[in-house]
Amino acid sequence: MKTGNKFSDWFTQKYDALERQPYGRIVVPTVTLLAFALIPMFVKSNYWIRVLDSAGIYIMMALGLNIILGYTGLLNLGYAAYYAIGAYMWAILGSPYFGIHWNFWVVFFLAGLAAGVAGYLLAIPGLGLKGDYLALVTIGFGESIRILANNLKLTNAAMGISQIDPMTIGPFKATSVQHYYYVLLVICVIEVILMRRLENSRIGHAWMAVREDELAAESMGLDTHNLKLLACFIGAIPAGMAGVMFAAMQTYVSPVSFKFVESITIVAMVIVGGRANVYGAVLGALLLVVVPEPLRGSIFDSARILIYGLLLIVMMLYKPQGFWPRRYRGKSHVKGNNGGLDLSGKKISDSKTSVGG
Amino acid sequence: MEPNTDSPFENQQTDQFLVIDNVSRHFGALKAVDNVSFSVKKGQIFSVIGPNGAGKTTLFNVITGIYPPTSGKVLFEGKNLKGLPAHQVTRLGIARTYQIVRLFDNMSVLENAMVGFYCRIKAGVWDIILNLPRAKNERRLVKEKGIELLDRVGLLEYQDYIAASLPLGLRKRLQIARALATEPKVLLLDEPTGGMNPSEKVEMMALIERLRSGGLTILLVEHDMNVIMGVSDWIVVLDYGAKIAEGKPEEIQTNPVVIEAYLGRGLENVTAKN
Amino acid sequence: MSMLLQQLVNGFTVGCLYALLAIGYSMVYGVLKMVNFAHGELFMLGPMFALFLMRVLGILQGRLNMLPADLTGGQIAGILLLSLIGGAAFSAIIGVLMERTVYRPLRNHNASWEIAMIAAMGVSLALQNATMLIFGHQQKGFPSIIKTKYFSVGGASFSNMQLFILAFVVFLLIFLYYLVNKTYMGRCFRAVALDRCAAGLMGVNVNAVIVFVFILGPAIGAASGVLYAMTYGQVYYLMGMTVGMKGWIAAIIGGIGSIQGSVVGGFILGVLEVIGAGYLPLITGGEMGAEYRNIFAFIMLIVFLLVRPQGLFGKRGVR
Repeated sequence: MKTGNKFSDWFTQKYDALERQPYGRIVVPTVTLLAFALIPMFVKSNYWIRVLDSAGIYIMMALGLNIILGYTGLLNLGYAAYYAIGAYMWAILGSPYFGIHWNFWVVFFLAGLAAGVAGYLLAIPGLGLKGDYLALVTIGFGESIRILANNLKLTNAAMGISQIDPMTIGPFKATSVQHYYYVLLVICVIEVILMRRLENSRIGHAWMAVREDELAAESMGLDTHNLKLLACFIGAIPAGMAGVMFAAMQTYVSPVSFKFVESITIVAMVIVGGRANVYGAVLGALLLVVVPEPLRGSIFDSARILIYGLLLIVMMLYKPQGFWPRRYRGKSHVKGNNGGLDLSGKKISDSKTSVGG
Repeated sequence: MEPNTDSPFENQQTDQFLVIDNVSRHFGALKAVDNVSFSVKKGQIFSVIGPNGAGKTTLFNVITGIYPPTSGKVLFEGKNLKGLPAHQVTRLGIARTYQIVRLFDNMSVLENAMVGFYCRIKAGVWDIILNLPRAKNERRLVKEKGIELLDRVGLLEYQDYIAASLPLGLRKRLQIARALATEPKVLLLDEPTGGMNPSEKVEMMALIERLRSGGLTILLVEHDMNVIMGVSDWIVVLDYGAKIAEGKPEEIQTNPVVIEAYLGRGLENVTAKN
Repeated sequence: MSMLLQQLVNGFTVGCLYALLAIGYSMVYGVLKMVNFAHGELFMLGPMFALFLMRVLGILQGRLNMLPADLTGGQIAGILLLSLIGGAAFSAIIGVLMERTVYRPLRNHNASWEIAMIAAMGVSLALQNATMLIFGHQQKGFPSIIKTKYFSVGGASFSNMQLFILAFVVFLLIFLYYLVNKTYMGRCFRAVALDRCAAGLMGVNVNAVIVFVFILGPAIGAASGVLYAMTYGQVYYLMGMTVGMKGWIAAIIGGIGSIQGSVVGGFILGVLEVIGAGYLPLITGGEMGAEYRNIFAFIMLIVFLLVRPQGLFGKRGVR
């Protein structure tokens, strides 16, 4: 599907060609992986490694949101809530605030589960709603979590919780950004592999079918209701885990990190990077974390959100599929085929099939 | 249920395959389907016809579980379909296509075909994430079946193309392929030849016959009389939601009630006013 | 008892403002079938621009943006009109620009609703941040313009400001009623809201109607913003986000697309929110305070969406 952008097309064509080769599936990811693994040897600046750590955390989340938004087409604008749940779980269970110090990895997986459950619970009433109503409810949820964090004594209100324990692997405590880098790299690689498996499986395709045309998907024997619940459950898990990692790395959490802008940023990563494509989500996260960095401290810094906004507008107008979407052959003939439900087409036909000859 | 003494099939089969028993579907005051009853025999090509607005598509929607009947019931292989959601109905073996083709536009042709099989395989989330043998085998199996299916309907060369890039005729074929992937026993086709030119219609008729010889029972909604007369074993005629006639194609063609439903009413009103 | 009455009065006032906002959302949704995410920013830009105007014209003094104490009634009225009309006009211009540069191209490409919504989010963020860059981070004082006098009835006190807001809303509703039901443009608006395609085929200039809605909606929203700023005494660039959300919720409660519904929804939300926030400390023994107002609004939203998703005045449609 030509997207009109020469570089993007060239790149993805080359990539697809490579992937078709027998060794392509293995070579390219391995090379990329090696490249990433070697970065800390060449990049000595702690500052930039820290940036990449941050990118790693966002990659985890973008991959999760990709399930909800990219495959299943559910517009969740409160994803930061799951992030917050994870972060505060570690802040509470691994810091001097309450004097509790659980094992990092226990909380890591627990937080993932907690986030998943939160996602599931939110989806139960949410699924009955039309798309824009669901979006509003997710915004509400995200904001509510933030307000709770900002006011409850449990979370130390607006002051936040500090001196949070760092990550530990067995007896070994993480003390530098490089430590976090390698752990995050491993986590991201694992996550990418798992996501790819989901993407190309019956569940991934079923999710996409639900996004494309829910009624037709039902007619094909797919339980759309449960599929959406599943997407909301699985999709939220990485955010909880990312939150734990974030809390450990930053050693301080406060409600400020979980504002609405955060949710939109993650949405932007999925959409700008490339929808319904694991590598697209990774690309989006990298882009939106790394590219603004050199601008920090300049006048562009406070304009960051303005640039995000303009970026979203421009992308929606010219490349709604993102830079690296799922690719197929052939050009789309259906008007308005921008990677989602076609409002004019589907809605009209809905009313025709319900009361018709 | 109206006993149909004209039916030559009546004595042959005692077990009911697909029975529409006094089904009504109301939308507020609008009686879209009004006390319709008929029985479909296994292996038949059974057509439902009628003027626009007669309730044919609504009837299909009720049969496939899109919404429940306001009254009456649908029995498939003796089982009451009442209250079952659409995906369960499909799993029991009733598949359908839509009048306005609903494909998964942003997925490939092959993926569209494969989706239909997913209700028949068993791999769960853990199987997939851990890439267990069951998931791997089923993935390969579904892909093979998908390719074979596309080959059967003549779409194999397009397998990697995005569904939205297909022209209308091929989209209709893909829709049928996708429905076939659910391994149905009954296939409901809602105006399969809509928008086609005569030669395409002939192909579609041949396809329908082939599907029946393959063991499927076909329920057909159609407007084109040539198509209907050409393939149908039995016809039911609806008008304003109610059944007005039923019988073999030759009988329906000459049935005065049917002719009036399609052509006559307007003329009467005009002459009455004058 | 008098506390309840006071809360009712306050809630009603807030409800008026929400109602005005909700009308804007409903009008746009009615013709475009899309929620203008950026409507809240239009609400915020009204008072921002009014403030800017007043400073530029030298009317305001000092860092707290106070009006001189010795203004005549006529001057006050003039400043009031200036704020309202200036703010409304500015927002209307931004609204039309928004429509032309972003929403119309998306409409022409038949973009799906999620793409339109994300683009609208982009507009909202861009406007918020641009305002912050131009006008600064801090909250700015906004004069109440009308010299506030309080009256006391039955133990509850209310101000002439609240009366003014109420009068404004009533006047606006009468105006809208006349506009929508008795004028040609109103008929066109209703036609487009019912069926955009068919209206176009019947000779209605759909784009003109949409531009009209994007002038009227933002203008009403901006006026609401000015009134809000006058009541609460401040403007800040994030105002649109927080209050705008409430307007959206009010519109949904009342039935989005319906103007009467928006009004009723606004009042219900305003009253329930104020009462709820007022009584929360009592119910929870001081654990939860009035900061939880916003959560209250969202809880209301969820309850409504579960119980009656089409809103009070909406039609039961194929979801």
